[in-house]
Amino acid sequence: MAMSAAEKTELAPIPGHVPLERVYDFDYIYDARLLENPHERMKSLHKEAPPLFYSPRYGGHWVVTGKEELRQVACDPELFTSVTRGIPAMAEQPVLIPLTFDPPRHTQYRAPLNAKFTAKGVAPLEGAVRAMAAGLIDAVAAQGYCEFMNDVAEPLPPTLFFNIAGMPTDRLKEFRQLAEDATAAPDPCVRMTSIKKIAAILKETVDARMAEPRDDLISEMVTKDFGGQRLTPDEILNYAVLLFLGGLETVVNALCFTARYLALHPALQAELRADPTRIPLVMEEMLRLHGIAMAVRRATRDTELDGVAIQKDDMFMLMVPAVNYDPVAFENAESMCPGRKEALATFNMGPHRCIGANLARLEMRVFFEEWLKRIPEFRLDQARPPKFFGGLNLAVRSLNLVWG
Amino acid sequence: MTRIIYIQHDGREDPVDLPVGYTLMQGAVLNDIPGIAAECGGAAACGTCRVQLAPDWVTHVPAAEEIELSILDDADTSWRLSCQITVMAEMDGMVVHLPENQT
Ligand code: HEM
Repeated sequence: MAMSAAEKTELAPIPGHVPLERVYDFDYIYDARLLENPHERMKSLHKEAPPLFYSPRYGGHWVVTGKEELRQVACDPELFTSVTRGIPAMAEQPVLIPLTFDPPRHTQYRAPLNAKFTAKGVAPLEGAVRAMAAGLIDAVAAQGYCEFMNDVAEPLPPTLFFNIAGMPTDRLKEFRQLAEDATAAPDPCVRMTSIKKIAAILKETVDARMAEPRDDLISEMVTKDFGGQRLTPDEILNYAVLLFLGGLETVVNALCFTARYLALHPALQAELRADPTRIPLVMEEMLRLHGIAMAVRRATRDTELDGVAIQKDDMFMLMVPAVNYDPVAFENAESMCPGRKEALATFNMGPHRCIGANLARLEMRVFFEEWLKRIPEFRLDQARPPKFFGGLNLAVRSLNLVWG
Repeated sequence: MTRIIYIQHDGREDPVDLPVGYTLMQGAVLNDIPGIAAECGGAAACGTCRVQLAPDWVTHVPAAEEIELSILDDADTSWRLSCQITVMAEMDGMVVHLPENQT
């Protein structure tokens, strides 16, 4: 990449209420060290900056990397709203149900669907996830190498979503391509167009289930009572698109970062092949060490956080993947300690805490159970090292693995 | 102070004295009692602070609201989210059981 971070974005003036010792220049999209190795960069933030710091990038915003500070912001939606124009500020905020709503409206949207996503709610999907994972892995096993991101990880979430939402499988191939464009296309216009096309395909199923409900997620959204009323067709569609997109790039990247970690740790691979019952606790640590999604909030009035004055409309980047390395909250935060007692921050805290966490955990566990069974010791392809993206998701751009 | 007795899956008992107004989740976390993850920090959004109230105590605790019920897997009303139960004076001596794991 020819352009450096400094050339890409400007520095905003530091507002008067921000103490200078809280200022730290961090570009959450183009920071060079972030693009080099995203989670190493997350660790370094704790050594170089306070748990709540102010970055002059993208118009100027606070960055939260401490777990207690995250809790205070994420668990107080009245003071720190999810109604924001983003960082940097967009002309207007796209409405996403339930992500861009605060309680009590948020609760009305969210509560009726929670049951589908509890550990028990997602357990019946295990067989389908296993069959999908096995199929994807078998397709590359004999060739001795793969580009893990595109070949294996990317198709899993859209295929699973088809199953959960009750979509007709003849649209799957087209849908997968759109899903790939929606997350990976370099051109934002292509990404936008793909999301619109995804919505158009989803709309067919929404219309069909409104006419005749069945036993699937879309039907659930059609028939359930949301705070005393039914959802409108537009609300159902909007919600369904978020459920789809929310579980797409996040899961793909959780799979990729974990595969990369295992590729770099052959002893751990061997240990898990010998004793697969250790996989669930190790996956929990993989999810902690490789947080992916950030969250954004806005202060609704003047307040104080971590002893610092905050002004109404100050913006907050909740750097969830860095929170997982907070040395105050996690003992030996940088070490992989399966079974550790501290809870991870990967799915955020507060009312918006990820609705799909149990599904993500199921996908991770079952996928790696099958992968480790079917693929012998694997390593990174030295000739083509992995590449990464920054931004609202820490993401893998490509991950070439070889074995045999 | 109100005494709450947390019982681990393996039978270990942890009695703690909590000020009225704390939640059962906070009481456990602040006293380093294992078995409660409380991933979402007390927003009834994750279901990782589940406890089972001892039978005699179920009726001493206000019934769960919709958001809590939506997260609980169980029709058995003795299972609750500890973040949604606020300690009251009349809970003195209450026994709550912790599950083997929370996820
Ligand atoms: C490892 C994988 C995943 C990660 C790291 C992740 C991360 C997150 C985070 C950090 C949030 C909070 C956003 C905020 O506070 O503003 C969130 C919310 C959400 N996630 Fe996930 N997620 C994952 C998997 C999934 C899956 C599989 C689904 C699909 C069911 C999903 C659907 C959602 C939805 C709908 C929300 C909005 C919830 C709300 O606003 O109440 N996520 N996710």
